[in-house]
Amino acid sequence: MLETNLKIVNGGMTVHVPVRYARLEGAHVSSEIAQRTCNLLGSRYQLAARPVPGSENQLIVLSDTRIPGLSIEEENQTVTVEDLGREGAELGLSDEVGKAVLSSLLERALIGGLPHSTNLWRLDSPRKWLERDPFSTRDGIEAYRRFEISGLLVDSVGLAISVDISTAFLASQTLDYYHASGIPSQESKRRQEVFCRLTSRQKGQKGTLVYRVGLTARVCYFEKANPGQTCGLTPEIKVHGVTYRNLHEYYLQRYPEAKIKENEPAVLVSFQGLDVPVWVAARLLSVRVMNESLPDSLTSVDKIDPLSRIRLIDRFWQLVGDNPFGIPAITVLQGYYRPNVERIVSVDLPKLEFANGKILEPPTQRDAHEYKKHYRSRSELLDSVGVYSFPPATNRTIQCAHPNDIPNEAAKQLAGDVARAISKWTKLDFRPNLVPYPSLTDATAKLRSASLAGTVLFVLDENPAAYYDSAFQLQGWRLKRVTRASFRKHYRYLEEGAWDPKKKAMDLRRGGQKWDQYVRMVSLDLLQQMDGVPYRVGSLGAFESQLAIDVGYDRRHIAISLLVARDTALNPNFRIATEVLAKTDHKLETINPTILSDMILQMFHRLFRGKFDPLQSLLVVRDGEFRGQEKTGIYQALLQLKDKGFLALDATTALAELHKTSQKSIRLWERVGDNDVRNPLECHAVIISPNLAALVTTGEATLHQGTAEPMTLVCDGEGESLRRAVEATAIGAQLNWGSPGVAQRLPVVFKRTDEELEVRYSQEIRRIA
Amino acid sequence: MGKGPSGGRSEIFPPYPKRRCVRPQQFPPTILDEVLNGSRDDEVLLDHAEEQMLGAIHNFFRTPAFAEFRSLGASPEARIECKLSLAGFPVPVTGKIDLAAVSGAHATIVDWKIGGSSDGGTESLQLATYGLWATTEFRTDDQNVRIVKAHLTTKEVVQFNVDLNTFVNARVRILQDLERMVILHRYGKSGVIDAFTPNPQQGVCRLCPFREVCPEGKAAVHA
Repeated sequence: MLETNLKIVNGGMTVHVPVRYARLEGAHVSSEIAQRTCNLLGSRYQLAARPVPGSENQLIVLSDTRIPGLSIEEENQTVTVEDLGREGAELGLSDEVGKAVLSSLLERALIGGLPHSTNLWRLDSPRKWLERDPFSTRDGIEAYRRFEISGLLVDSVGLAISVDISTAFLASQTLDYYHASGIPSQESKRRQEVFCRLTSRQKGQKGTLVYRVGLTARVCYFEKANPGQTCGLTPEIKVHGVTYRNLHEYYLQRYPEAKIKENEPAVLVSFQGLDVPVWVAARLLSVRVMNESLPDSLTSVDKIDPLSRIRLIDRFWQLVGDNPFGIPAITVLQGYYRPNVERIVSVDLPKLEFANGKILEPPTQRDAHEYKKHYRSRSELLDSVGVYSFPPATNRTIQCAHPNDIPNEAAKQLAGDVARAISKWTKLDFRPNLVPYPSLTDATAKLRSASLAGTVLFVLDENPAAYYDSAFQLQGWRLKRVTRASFRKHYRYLEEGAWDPKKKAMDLRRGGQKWDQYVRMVSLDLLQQMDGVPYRVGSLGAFESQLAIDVGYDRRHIAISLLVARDTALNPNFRIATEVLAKTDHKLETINPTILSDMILQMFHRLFRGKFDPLQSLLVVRDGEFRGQEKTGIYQALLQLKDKGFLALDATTALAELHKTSQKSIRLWERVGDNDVRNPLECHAVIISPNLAALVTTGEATLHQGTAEPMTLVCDGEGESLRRAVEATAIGAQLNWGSPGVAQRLPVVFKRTDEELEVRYSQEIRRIA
Repeated sequence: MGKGPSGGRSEIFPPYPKRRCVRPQQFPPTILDEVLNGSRDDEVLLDHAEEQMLGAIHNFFRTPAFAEFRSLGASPEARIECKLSLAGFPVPVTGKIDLAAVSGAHATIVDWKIGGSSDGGTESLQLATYGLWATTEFRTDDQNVRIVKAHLTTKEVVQFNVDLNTFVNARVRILQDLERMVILHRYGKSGVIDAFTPNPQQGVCRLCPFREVCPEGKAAVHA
């Protein structure tokens, strides 16, 4: 039976919650001020509040007693909060305001009580709370369990609270250790190296830190540490109108319990919302270690199987006790929410077509064993039958540019193995060519003189400038970066074997397998860069095409990807393309509608050449929320697509949002028994409300550790729109070309945008010195 | 070394037309924009600027930490307010250096600062660009280029440490910024104003040189 991590609030759809209404008064009350006031009511008075929808100067507060009169000093005005005196007011789900605000009010009430009823603490997000002590410490890194809390409304069921488990990593040593003075230079250098590794500074990152002083913890970013810089030697500082002679004096007056000494090291850090970097005591800072910087010993600790996850969630509910919302009448039901069968969408795996019309039929039964066999067959068929399509005019030489210090035989092995893999899949003869280089300029010059454009495996270090420069100098080339570190690591596996924990010895066969997996991954990536299509689907359910829109993590690039999959009698009938553009307004997450519209149009011009048949349906999916005027940009593009004949005049179009990491922290699992809980089967979804669904595309058949991580889909359309969007997304995820033997989490269009944005992110210069 | 100049505000800031006197198409220099368009009391601003400038001039002449730069600046080969132009980019990349001087194999770049110290990325890019220029202009390598920020108010000299990596990063950063400019240039040429997203930060918006042709900018300035 499919079960979720949602706890339903008692009373279901008939729940009634006592509320008070309050008036906000000030010279100019904006929505930001209203939100800030609500946050203040939460942190200072443990009152859950939020603005009345459509009215910035009225608040709804979850409370059965009168709200105390408040006066809040804003920058240019004083804002007062006054109870409106509506005694005995209640809010339920039968009215629209209740539907709109109750889930977030309960979420805030639950979160507001955590600092008082538990010893949990938090960093940047108000919804993520960490346990006080780490559950594991290895190699100088502490791992903390974190509870992610969210409130939502489950249509026809009631209010729900989701709690999920994640993991946060902090370095055990504080920054005074890494920037200590008076230690031997060798030791100082070693500590600096560790610091750079943990903060990913060699990859161009600044380094994320946690600043803990008093009762607060805040995220900040490393700027610099001058040798000999101490708290007593920092310049004069001014905080909230008070001037302090130096940082030491500031701590002495504001945080005497921190016991910061004059001669303790100080480092410069930047905080979000502050215009200029500030000096802080190094001892109050810890490195926040990101997953990619974790040592092998910790890479799996965040993989929690479904049963262990449930136990941890149970622990949270035990921690908050019987009165989680601070109102005794409101509590949560026993057990976790199990959706009924009408709310579950099971998407059948599609037929897949390989070379020469060879079809792989979907599994005959919905069970993990059959699914596993099916995924394995994808890999086997690709090896035996070959790719569905490959551009015949592709240059057949695979260049391998490698620094001179990489042994020639290692480069020869990689390039040769990759060429052989691609030859096997395409049934064409690919040959490797080695280009050893002393400098990057030399490499790009050699490659450009070798051919106008081609395919190159470029062995580079993780320096963003080198990656950007090679791509800039080789425009028009298909460039696959292989990092020097990963190449060396895998070649060592091949040469020396990999560690076998059972035999407690190095094992050559095991090492060989690791090398083969590495070569396969590199080759499949290169194959796709060369526009090879390993296998195809007939359609995306009710849609002939899917367009993904994504913005990079640092908001510096926009990527769009278009997939067309339809009847072979039509032209084009199967094609995929991805475009990336630098974002001109990177301070904003929203995409400029004119630029978005033009990008979409150009994408269609690129994909639909010569004689073509108009598309009858298109699903446009934005990663995350549609923001600002983006929808206007899309509608403008759709009109132009119809005008140019790319889209039929009566084409069906739908707009959806895909939240790759479930916005509401929803999890799904299959409850077999009290102590037997498994991951759900691939491609199952739960309809939470008419426009919100949680979809799992990876599951029991191919997940070996951890719990399936659903994505949430939001679709505003009428009737079956949401179910159709779910189906198209699940089928899109079956184009798992990067790893055919296992299920893929993202639909291929988002896999492509993600990969392209990741490449650009790795090339972006974020700090100069 | 002579005495620092003295004099009142009227000598430093000659009378400047108020906003109402400026024709719409005539943009005031950004440096005086706060005075012309700002809502704050311009007298206070001017007094503050005057005080800061006089202090800076005084410190320039009297601070021992700046003696080396005064002497470098007085040498016949010194380049003061020198225009730079970087080659090897698809568009002209230009700037102006406060002081550049070479002594033997070493090149020194001085960036005089009147305001408070800041470590923003823009400043690093600016200084690294100066260094990049110096390596070709003075035919020297990265190890022989010294770049300093001389803070005239706080009398501090802050060295900006550079190496080959800094210059490579600066070059690539300029190329990446150009990529964005090229995208917008196309729209600018064809007059598609909607492609230019207004900056939500009022302070930045008010200083934008295109504010008089942008509806949001006009609204911010004339609010």
